[in-house]
Amino acid sequence: MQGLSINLIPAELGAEELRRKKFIRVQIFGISAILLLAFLASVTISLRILQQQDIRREQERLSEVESRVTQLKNREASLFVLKNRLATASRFLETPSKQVIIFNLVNSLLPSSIAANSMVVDRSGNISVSAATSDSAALDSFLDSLVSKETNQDKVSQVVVESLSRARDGTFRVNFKVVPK
Amino acid sequence: MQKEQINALYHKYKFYIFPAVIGISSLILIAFVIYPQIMKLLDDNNLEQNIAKRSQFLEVKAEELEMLDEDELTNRVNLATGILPPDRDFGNVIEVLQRLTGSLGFTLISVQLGQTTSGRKTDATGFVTKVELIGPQAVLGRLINDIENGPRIMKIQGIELSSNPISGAASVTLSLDVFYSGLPKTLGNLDAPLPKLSSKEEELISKLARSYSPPSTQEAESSPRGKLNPFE
Repeated sequence: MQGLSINLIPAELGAEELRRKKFIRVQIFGISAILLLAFLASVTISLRILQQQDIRREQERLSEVESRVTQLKNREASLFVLKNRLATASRFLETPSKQVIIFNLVNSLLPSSIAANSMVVDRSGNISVSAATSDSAALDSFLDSLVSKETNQDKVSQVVVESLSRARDGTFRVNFKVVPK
Repeated sequence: MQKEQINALYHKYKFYIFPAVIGISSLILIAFVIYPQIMKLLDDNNLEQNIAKRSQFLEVKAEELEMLDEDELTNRVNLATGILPPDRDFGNVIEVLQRLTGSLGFTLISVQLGQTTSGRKTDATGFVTKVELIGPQAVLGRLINDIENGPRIMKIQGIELSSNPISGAASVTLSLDVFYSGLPKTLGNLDAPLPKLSSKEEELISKLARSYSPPSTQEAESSPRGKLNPFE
């Protein structure tokens, strides 16, 4: 007799067997998950241990280089002082004072035929000159050069002739004031 | 009996109990081990990078400091503190004026030291000095320029000149502002970068080195300040 099979195992046992196989699958999956997580945990802990060793090494290197720099702190202080002095000094030396500029200008334009008897430069940079000459043309030319932008280097704002007189001997005496820009 | 009851309960609900235990264990592992360790790893990675960066910065700083010539640096500091000392140093002012005036044939008649003034948008302080001298008018311009560019920061604020056209001699009164500046309060720290001199500052220090020897090594070139024997 072909193809006739009779299952004599009770239905409950079959179902039980299926359930058991299903549970085994669940167990395998659960245990694999736990093992994987345990592996991950151990890897992270190992990485942390290695990282701590690296950090310790870097900190030792840092301490060593810190002590090198600390031993040279006098040189560092000298550099700071040098920089501080030179930075401040440079600001002073950038430009000469207004008084010197105007004095040098008037002095350079003053011809030898005019004798400056007195010159006073005040704190505002105004220069008052008392001069004498017998050469009126030179005096004219000198006053012109003080006023002209080409010769006064654009440093003069105003020239005020306060007094001009001529003595009997032909000497011109002039008092004038130059106001700088 | 109790054990049998537990077994029976487990057997009945094992499809729920076992996954729950696995789930809770996994959560505990993740929450208390894996996650904190990963966060610590990331934080310490930043820490390690910062330490390495600081080490590198300090390494470069240490090398730059080691390369400096100590003697040359000391000379430069002496020159720089000579032109702008940390205090008034009246003696230095008189010495400088004597040297500058003497070299051009001027005779220093008097030096009056006066009140404090402030310096030109800097932290320097100045004091007014009035100088009377007699000498050749022809080189007065040079003297004034020498004073303004001399080995001590002095700015001319006033000039009074009266001259004798026949002899060419002039009687001059100069009002100067002489400056000084206290030393900086902080002289660097471990994490501060080293200051670099600008090209203008390098030029200034080179010019000073060429023109003047620093005050500590200077010989007394100036004329004596008083009589050798004050009782004569």
